[in-house]
Amino acid sequence: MAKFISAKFTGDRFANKRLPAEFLPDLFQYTELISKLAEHLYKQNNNRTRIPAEVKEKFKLSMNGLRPGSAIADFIDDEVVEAEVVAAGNRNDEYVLLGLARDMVNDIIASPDAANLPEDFPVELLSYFAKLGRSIAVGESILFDNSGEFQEGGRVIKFDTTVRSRLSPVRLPYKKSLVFTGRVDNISNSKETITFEKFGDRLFYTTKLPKAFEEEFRDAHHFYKDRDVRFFCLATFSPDGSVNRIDKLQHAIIQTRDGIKMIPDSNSKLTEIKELGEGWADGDGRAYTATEIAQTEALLSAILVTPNVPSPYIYPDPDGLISFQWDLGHWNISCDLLFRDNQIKIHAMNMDTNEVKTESLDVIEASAKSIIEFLADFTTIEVHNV
Amino acid sequence: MSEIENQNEVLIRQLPSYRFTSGRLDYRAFKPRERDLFKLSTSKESGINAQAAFDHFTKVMNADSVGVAKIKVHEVAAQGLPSFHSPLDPQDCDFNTHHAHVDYTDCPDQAAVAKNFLKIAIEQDRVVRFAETFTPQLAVVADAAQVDTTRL
Repeated sequence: MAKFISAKFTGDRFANKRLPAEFLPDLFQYTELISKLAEHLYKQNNNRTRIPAEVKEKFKLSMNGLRPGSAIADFIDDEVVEAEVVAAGNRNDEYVLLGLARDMVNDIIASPDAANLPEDFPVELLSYFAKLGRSIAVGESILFDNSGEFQEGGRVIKFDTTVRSRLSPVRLPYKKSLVFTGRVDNISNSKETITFEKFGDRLFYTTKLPKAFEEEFRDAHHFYKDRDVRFFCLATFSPDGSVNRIDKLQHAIIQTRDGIKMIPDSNSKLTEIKELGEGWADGDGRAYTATEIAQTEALLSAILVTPNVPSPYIYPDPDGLISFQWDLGHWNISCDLLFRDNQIKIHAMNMDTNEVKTESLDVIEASAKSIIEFLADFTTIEVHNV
Repeated sequence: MSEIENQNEVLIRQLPSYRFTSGRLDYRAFKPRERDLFKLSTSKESGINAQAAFDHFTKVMNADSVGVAKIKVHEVAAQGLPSFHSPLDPQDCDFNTHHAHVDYTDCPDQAAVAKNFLKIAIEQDRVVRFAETFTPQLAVVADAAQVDTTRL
């Protein structure tokens, strides 16, 4: 057993060095949040949707009991009770992930802008913040310290009613990327809507049918009824982390008997681009060379062999470049292939917050891995369980 | 050429067919070209409406467009960019008389600005699609009914 973190309760109600039972749920929510977050990190790091039972066991935290009154030095003053939490593992991989999860949770608690969660924080765990600290009254606090020393100069995280109210914005409905596997249930051509079942919670959602999906599904949705479809969309979540509605379908990967089919259909778009002759775009556009087309096809193939990476929307440009573009949640991501300079400019903008991330790659042929790594921040990390 | 002072002036930007893939609009529709010295060409709506500007662009100039997007001068200013009234050849036609441009010359991140305009146009329902496709000499002009931009 390894000591993992200590919690110290401060306030009048702890003056007798006892921890009233009503506070145990607070500790439970805190440790459960860390365990669940560690499980999420495990699935993400190992590209898995489920965790083996024996691994899951290693993510469990347990309370080692209150420090006995005999260790008087442990109690800074008479209004303090300390509890120590231990992890089942030791210095194994699971322990490291638990540590990462603990630090991420503590960072959120310590952040002055707690509503601005880390991009890779799974939305379904937000509800734990709503449950944490319900027993704490004004003037009381829970201090968390990895070392258990609670010394000045050490990193002691304070959770009190101020922090709790600061975290309250995350209890509002919010929009975020959602990636899940499901199946198409129905297409309404008259209403221009699509209804699908989301595996996992077995709920049905109906949303607008985007043009790219309409092209694929309009006449053939029956064919897809028993096919697993990986949907990439922007969704509205309830404060407890459950999906409220699907706002916008953005991309999809369909498992068919013959292999994988993607929406949008970037291969057919590439065929169109191949056929552009000299003078397209009002006389300004030049035909793409065979080398440029080959480079584009090779890059696209290399990107799309990666699981969970959806096909991009592809655009030609009269200035001679080809642009790959994705909508992933709030992010508009463009990957402009500048053949003249043998360079790729990646530009991602969060259309909600205006945050921008960019990267410049020097050789088109050698860029697939970097593009996949860049995209990973917006795909696998936000993948939801199925 | 003069800077447009009316912050509520609407600038009409033509949208060529190749800027749409499966109904999704390319952010580069709002990014000026180096060839144009980083000036994004538009028309002032106070002088010519969207339908007339589209008709002139596609039928008279025989240039590729399937619709327009509308951005307001104050939205351009919010991106730190100036908008200019810049008639091309005022004697020629109304369309040219009301030509305007957004100057991206000093813009450090043109892609971010272009994506902001894309966001505004879609979220504010200011993309008007007049045709499904563009055919040179024979532009297919459909009803001027606005497309459902929630599906873009």
